[in-house]
Amino acid sequence: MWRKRQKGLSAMALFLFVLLLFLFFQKKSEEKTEIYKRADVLMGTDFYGTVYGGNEDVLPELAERLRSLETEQLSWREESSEIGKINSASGKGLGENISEETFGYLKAILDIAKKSEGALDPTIGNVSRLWDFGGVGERLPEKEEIETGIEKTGYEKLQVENGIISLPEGMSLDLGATGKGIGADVAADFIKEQDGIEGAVIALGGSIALIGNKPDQTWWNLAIVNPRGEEGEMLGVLKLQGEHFISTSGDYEKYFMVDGKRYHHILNPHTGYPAESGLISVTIVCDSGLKSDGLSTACFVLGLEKGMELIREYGAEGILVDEEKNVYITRGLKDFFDLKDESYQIVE
Amino acid sequence: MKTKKMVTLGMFTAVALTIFVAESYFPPIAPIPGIKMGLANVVTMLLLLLYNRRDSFTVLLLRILLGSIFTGQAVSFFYSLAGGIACFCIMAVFYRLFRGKYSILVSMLGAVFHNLGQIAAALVLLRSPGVLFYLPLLMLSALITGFFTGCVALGLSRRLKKLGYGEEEKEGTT
Amino acid sequence: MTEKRILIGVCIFLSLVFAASLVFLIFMHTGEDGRGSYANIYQDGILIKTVSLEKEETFLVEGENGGYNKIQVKDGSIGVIEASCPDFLCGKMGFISHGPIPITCLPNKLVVEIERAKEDGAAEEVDGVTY
Repeated sequence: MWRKRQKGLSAMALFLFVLLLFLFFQKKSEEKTEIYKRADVLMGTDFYGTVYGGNEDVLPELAERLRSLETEQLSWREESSEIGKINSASGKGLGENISEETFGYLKAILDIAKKSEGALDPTIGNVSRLWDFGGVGERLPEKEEIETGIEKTGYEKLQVENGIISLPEGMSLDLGATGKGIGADVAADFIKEQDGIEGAVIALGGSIALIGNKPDQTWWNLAIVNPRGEEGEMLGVLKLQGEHFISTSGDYEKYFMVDGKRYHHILNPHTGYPAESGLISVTIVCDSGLKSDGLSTACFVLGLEKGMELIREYGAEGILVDEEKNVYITRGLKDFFDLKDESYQIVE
Repeated sequence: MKTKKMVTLGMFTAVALTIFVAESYFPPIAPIPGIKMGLANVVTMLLLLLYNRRDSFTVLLLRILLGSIFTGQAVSFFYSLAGGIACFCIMAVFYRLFRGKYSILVSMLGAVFHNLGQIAAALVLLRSPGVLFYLPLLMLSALITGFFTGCVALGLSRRLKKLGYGEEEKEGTT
Repeated sequence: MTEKRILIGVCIFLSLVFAASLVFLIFMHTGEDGRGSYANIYQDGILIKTVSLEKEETFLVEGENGGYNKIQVKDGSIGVIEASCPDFLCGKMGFISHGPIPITCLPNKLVVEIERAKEDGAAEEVDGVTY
């Protein structure tokens, strides 16, 4: 008799347990999170925002925040921006009117510049302005122009110390290689200050900030563009969970052709010409937008071996693609990348 | 004899779990994450044929609970529960009405309701009527899976009965 | 007797399910070409228009300060054919039909994107694209 009762009891316990679980999930699913989306043009590139939770004002406010980041801090095109002021004060030191954040950005960029031996150079302004990729004045500069331009570059001449920024006379900053990454950082900080947001994806021209998680707790699916695909088909999908910053640098983004030769927008600061390192695409995943954006540019310039070393030095992860369509993936990402285009092969 | 039966049911749970977990690696039949073909229902049917409703239901619940923990998908639990219970109810009713005959048809009915249950769960969870778009596809797939699980369950139950399964305990039959 | 009736009922039910799904699937399959994909047009961050890429049309999107973009839909793709911006970069981006990279016009704050996640063959939804 008692055995039968025991059996009944355990069956009931099981039922209760399942019922509890059921109610738990039910309750969770009932709190359906609102999804807000926005597509815009910000910081000189396209902006996509998807926010799970929060309210409808979050994305418009974020757009405003990024707009002021561009005009008040980062843009060299705006004379009144902090970078604009530093540029016009070249030859003299400048300490006032520069925000602490901008100091922080410049220090972080200089750190990458040092560790990459100048493969990333914030003082490349005089050369990048000659090419003006994606701008109205886009053209192939004369050799002499580049030679004179390159004399007025060099990250080691830029000093950011004791609250003073000093840039030698005639030199000019251009944070183009890290601007979108900084935007991603600012966006992530902004989102995290808001109430009730479970997760968000902020994309600024291909530099992406993943924040939190989706309400259903599934992983983020992030497509990496095929560097040789027509119209940006995907190379593969990266699966990530939680907060990450992702940036890609490729020779396919902004370029023009002269006499059958491709001139792309990632300049080698040492030569002043588009980098020819054998790589065609570098994707970096790490814990900051500035770093992911800066490292992807630096690694693209450095090439496979030195690039991988730099990635390791920063404890970042990366996916590098060379001209032979070989795909190199750092150990930490290997299991989370799903190659979709079979004309590429993953090399160990 | 009771221990023997418990062991047997445990074994069937393990079999169901294996199928359940293996199935989660199959390409999805519809692009709604968590929705399954319902191959593991073969064990539900088999246990109906061999034992009784209570045992079949217990194994079903255990399988869904453990399986969702193993595959680590919370959504999958919801879908499987809805699908599994719908499938079980309809199969139990018709199994009784037909007094154990036509089990392939019963299995097909079960599969159809399994997928209907999943779609219903998806409607509740995703709150998007768009999932109904996949209904025809899921129905066709259910008829096919149901036919196969039915055949397998029937064939297996005949062979297992010859080996002495299903005779462990008769008193629990309701 | 009742058993037989139930049996017939079940058989009819299953056949109906089969026939209905089959008809639906075939119907949907032929309708698939017409379903096609869509493009979303945003101006200043706000979705102002969604167009089907199946229907050929040309329309004007006007912005502030007399800025405008003339957008054309043809052969299942969409592009900007005329614009007020001096660099006309949006037009240089050509026509897009399925890729993840949108057409953008900085001066007029315009974004034209192909609706994502509904591409055929893409089994999973993508949350973002890095390029």
